[in-house]
Amino acid sequence: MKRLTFKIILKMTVAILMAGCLTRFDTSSEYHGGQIVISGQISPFEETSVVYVGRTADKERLPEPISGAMVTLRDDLGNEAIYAASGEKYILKDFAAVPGRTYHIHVALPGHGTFESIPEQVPAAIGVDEVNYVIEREDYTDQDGIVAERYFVKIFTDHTVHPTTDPVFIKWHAEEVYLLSPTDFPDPFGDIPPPCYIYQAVDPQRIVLFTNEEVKAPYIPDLRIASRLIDASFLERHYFIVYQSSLTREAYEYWKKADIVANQVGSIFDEPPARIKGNIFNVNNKNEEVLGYFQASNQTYHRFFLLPQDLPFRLKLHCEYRSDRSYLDYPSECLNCATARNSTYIRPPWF
Amino acid sequence: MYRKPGYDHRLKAWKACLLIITIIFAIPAEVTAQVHDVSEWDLIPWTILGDSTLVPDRNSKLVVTGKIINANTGEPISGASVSADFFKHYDYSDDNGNYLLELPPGNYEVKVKQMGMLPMLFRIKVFSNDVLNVTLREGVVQLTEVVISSRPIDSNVKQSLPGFTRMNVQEIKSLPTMMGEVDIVKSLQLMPGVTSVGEGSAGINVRGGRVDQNLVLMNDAPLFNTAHALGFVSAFNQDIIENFSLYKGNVPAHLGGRASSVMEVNTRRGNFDDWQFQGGAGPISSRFTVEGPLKEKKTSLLMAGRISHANWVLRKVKDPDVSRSKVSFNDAYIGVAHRFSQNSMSDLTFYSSHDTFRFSNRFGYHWNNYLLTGRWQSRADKKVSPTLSATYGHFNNTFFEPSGVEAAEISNAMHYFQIKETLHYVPSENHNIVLGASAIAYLPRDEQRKGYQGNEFVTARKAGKNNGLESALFINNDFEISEAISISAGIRYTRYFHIGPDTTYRYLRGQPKSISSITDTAFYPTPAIVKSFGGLEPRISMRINLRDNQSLKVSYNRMRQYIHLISNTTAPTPVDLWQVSTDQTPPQIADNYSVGYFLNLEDDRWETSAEAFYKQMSGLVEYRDFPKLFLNDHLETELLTGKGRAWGGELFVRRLKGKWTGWLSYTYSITQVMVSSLNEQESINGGDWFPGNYNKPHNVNLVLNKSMRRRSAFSAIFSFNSGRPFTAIESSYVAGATVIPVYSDRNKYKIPNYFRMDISFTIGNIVNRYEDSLVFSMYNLLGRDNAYSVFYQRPAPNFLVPKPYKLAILGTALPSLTYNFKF
Repeated sequence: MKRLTFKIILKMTVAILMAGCLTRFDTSSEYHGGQIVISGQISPFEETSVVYVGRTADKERLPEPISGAMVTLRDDLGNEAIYAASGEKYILKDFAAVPGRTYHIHVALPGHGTFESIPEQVPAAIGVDEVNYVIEREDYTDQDGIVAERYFVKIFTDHTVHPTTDPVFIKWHAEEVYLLSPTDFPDPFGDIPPPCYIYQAVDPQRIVLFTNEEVKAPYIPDLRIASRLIDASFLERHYFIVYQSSLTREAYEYWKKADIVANQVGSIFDEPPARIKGNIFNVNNKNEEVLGYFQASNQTYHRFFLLPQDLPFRLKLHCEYRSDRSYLDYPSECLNCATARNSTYIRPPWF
Repeated sequence: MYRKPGYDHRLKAWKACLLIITIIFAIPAEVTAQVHDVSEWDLIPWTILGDSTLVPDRNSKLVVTGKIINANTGEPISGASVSADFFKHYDYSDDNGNYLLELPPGNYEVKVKQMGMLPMLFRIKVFSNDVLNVTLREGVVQLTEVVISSRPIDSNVKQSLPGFTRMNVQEIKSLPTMMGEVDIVKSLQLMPGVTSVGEGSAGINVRGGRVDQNLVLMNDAPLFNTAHALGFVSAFNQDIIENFSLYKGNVPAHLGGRASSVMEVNTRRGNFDDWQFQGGAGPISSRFTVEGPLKEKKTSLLMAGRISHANWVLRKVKDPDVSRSKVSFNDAYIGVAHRFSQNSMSDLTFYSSHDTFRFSNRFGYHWNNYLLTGRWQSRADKKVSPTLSATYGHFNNTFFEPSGVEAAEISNAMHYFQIKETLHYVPSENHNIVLGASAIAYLPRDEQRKGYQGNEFVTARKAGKNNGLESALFINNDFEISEAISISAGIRYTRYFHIGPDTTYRYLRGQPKSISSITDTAFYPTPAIVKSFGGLEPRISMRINLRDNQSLKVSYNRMRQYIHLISNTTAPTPVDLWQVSTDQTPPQIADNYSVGYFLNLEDDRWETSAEAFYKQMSGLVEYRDFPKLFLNDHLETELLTGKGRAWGGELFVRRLKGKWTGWLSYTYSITQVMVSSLNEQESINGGDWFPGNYNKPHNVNLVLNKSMRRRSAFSAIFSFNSGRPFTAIESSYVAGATVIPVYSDRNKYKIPNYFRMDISFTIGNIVNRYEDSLVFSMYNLLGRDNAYSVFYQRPAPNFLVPKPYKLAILGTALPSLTYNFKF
C-alpha cells in the first residue's frame, strides 16, 4: 500500500513539475480604437509644419489616417494659414512661427466634428548645445529576444542652462538622414540608379526633458539624447540632427507623462499608467476624449555626420552587386530604395 | 563506536535535497509516551482546594483562580487552556497569565496546556474558593500526536471571535521560506482571507482591506514598516517573537486605528534564570540573540540582532546594473523586563530596523524604523489587572538619485507618541472586561529635498506635513450568557484632531481642486485645531455552540482610520508617504460584517471553518492620473476620495494531529473601489466600480507538514491565486516620432494566475549538545516565472508598437540552507 502511494505521489510530482514549465501569457485586452488623434507642431524655423489627423486602431497597429480634414493654423492676431493634404499628413510649407505669439490649430473633420488645440505661446529661444557622440558596445535585444553585444552610436549633449529666472522647459530629440544606394546591377547602358535619402527619428521612445525649476546648475553635461545601432545604414555618410526644443509648461507636462507611459519597466516603483490628456478638444463636445498634442516650440539644432571610416570596424556591404548572388536574395530596399520607409529622392541641401 | 540504528539526519545538504522525497515516505514519526499518559494518571495525587472540613452547598459555584507561569522564564503564560472535566468548565489565561474557573464543589481532572510547554494534569478536590497556581515547563513534547499550536486546540470552536488567527514562530519554523528567512507576514498569507499584491511586496491585504488598513502592533505600539528588502524579508526577527495574532473578523474594542484588521506581534521576555544564546546563519542574513538574568528572578535582558549579507547574490548576476546594485538591512532588539513583585512587572523595549537599497547608479532608498516602548503590567487583585504603556516611534525614509547634476534626495519622517492604559477586569467567571483609553500623536517632519551628497546644483525645498492627534476610549466585555452562547461586545469612541501649525486652502466648489481653484487660505498656529473627526465604533460578535464540537459565529464592527498611506504604485514601497487626515482628507471608515460556521472533528484532530464576510468602506484615498505626491504643498489636489466594498467567503480545513499535519485554505474575495464626482476630472473610470489593485478572487493554499524523529520535519506549500488587475494598452498613436500608448480604464484587465510550490526539510540535532537544526528550503520548486506585473515595451528598436511583457520576480527555483542553533 505504501509503495503504491509513493508511486502515485511520485507521478503527481513529475506531472506538476512538467506543468510548471508550460506557462503562457496573453493580455487578452480588447480592441478599443476609434478615438480621434491630432498632433503636430510649429516652430520659428522656416520649415514644413506637419499635422497628423487620424483615428486609433487596436493595440497591435498604429492609427489610421483620416483624409478630408480642413486644418487651419490661427494666431492671436487673427492670421490664418491652411494646411495642405500630403499623403497621410497635412503640411504647411515654409512657415515660421514668431516667438511670443500664440497659435492654435482648428481642424474641421467632416463626419467627426470640429476640433481645436488650446493656444500655445511660442517660448523664447534658448542656448545652443554642444553635441558629441561615442561609439560603444552595448547589449542589444533583437525581435526574437536574443541578446547580443553590438556597437552603438550614443549621442550626448552638454547643455548650458540659459541664465534666466523664468522657468525653462526643454526637450531633446534626434533625427538621422542617410544615403541608401540601391544595387547597381550591370546593364548595357551603364545607368546608375539614383540613391535615396532616408529620414527618420532616432531612438524616439527616449524622451529627454529638462527644467530649471528644480536644478540651478549652470551646465548639464552628458545628457544622453539617443542611441543608434550601427548597421548597414552607416555604409555611407550618415547624418544626425539633434533638436533642442523649448516648450511651454503644458507641453513639458505632456511629455513627462508620455515618458511615464512609454517607458514602464514593470517594477514596484513604476507609476501606474493612464491615458494622457493632450491639448486637443472637440469644440462641440468637450467631454469627447481626443488624443494628441499640438505644440508651439522654439528650436535649435546641431548636425553632424559619421563616415564609415569613423567606425571601429568594417561593415559588411549591404546592396553591393555580386554576380553569385541571386536577384531574389537582395533586400527590397536594394532593388528599389524608394520602398524603404521614410525615403525620398530629394537630396537635403546640406547633405 | 555505538550508533543507534536508523537514519542519520546529519546528512550533507545536497544529500538531503536528493533524498527528501524518499525520506518523507520512509521515516515513520517517532512514537514516544506522553508526559502524563494513561498509565500515569492514577498516580497523580489529589490536590485539595479550600477547607475540606466545610460542607459546601452542592449547587453553589466556587472560584478556582490562579496564575500560569513559565518555569524557565518566570513569565506569565497567556492563552493557555485550563479545562476541568474535558472542557466542561474551561478558561484561557489572560495576558498576565491569570485564569478563573467557576466550579461546583467536587472532584475534577484539570488539564493545563500551552504550545511549546509540557502539559500538566491535576486532580483537584474543591471545597471552597482557592488559588491554584500552575508552573509549566518549556519543552517540545514528542507525543504520539504532536499539536503545534499557539492557542487552545479547540479554540476554533470555542473562541468567541470569528476571523481570529494566532500563531507562533514554532508553528511556522519548518515552513519553506524564501532564502531561509522565517517570515511571519508571509506565513499569515497562507491563511484564508489574507493576501498581498504579489511576490516581494510588503504588507498584507486582509479581507479586501488595503495594506494601510492593517494595523501592525509590536508590543502594543504601531509599526510603520514590516518588511526588509522591498518586502522579500520580514522585519521581525524570529528569535524575539513570542506569538503573533491577526484579527481579521471582529476586532476587540481595545484595538483600533485602522479600518480593516489588526496584526499583533508580541516579543518574548529574556530568561530570568539562565543565560541562553541562539541564532542562525542563512544565505542572505545572520542573526544572534542573547538573553538572561541581569538580576536573577527579577530582571531579564533579551538582545537580538540580524544583519544581511545579500550583496554577494547581486554580484553573481551578469547584468551590470544589478551587479553594481546594493541591498542591505539590519534590525536590532533590546528588551529589559523587571519583576517588581509577583503581581507587578515592567518592560522596556527598543526595536530598530534599517534598509538600504541602491539600483546601480540610477536610484536608491534607505529607511529607518525606531520603536521605544515602556510597559507596566500589574495585578491589583484577583479581578483587576491594569496595563500602562508609552511608546515613541520614528519612521523615516529617503529616496535618492545619486548621479548627474540632478542628483538629489527626498526625505520624509514621522514621529509618533502613544500612551495607552488598559484595565482587565474579571468580575466573575462569565465576564471578562477590558476598558481603557489611548492617545497617539502623529508629528511628521517637513518633507525635504536637497542635493545628493552635497550636490549644490539642486534647489533645496521643503513641504510642510500635517500633524494629528487621535484619542480613544474603549470598553469590551466578553461574557457567557450560557454554556452555548457567548458574546464579545465592545464600544470604542475615537476623536481625532488635525492640529496646527498648518496652512489650509479652500477650493472653488464644483471645480476640480487645483492651485488655480483656491479661493481662500487660512493659517492655523500651534496648537490650534484645524478640523476634528470622530465617532463611535461598535464591535460585537457572538458565538453559539451548536454542539460541543461546532459553533456559529457572527460579528459586526465599525473601524475608523485617521492616517493613510499615500502610495501611487502597485504595491507599497518603503518610500511612500504617511498622511494624517486633514480638513481635505477625511478618515476612512469601514463596516465589517462576518458570519462563520466552525466544526472540529475526530476529537479536535480536524479543524474546519466556513466564513463569509462583507466590508464597506468610505474615505478611501485614490489618485488622479499622474499625481505629484512628493513635495506637494497642495497634496489634496492630487488625491481623490472614494468608497469601497469587499465581499467573499473562506474555507479552511486543518489537520492538527497525526503524522501529517497542515491546512488547506480557500478564499473567494472581491474588492472594488468607486470614485465618483459630478466633475469628470475627479472621477475614475467614469465613476463606476472598478477592482482594487490587489483584487485576486481565488486564493488557495495547501500547507503540509510531517514531523519526523530527532526534531526533523518536512514541509511543503502549494499556493495558487488569481492574477491581480492591471491597466493594459488598448491602442497607440504617434506624437512627434514617439509612440504614445493609450491605456484602458484603470485595472480593467488581469495578469496571469499565480502558482508556486515550496518545500523544506529540517534536520534536527546536528550537534547533539545543542538544540540546533539545518533547514534546507526550496522556494518556487517548479521554477515558475509567475508574473509580478505586466508592462509594455517595444521588442526591438525597429518595432513601433509596444508588446506586453510579464515581469517575474523569481523565474527560477530558489534553494537555501539555514543553520539555527540554541544553547
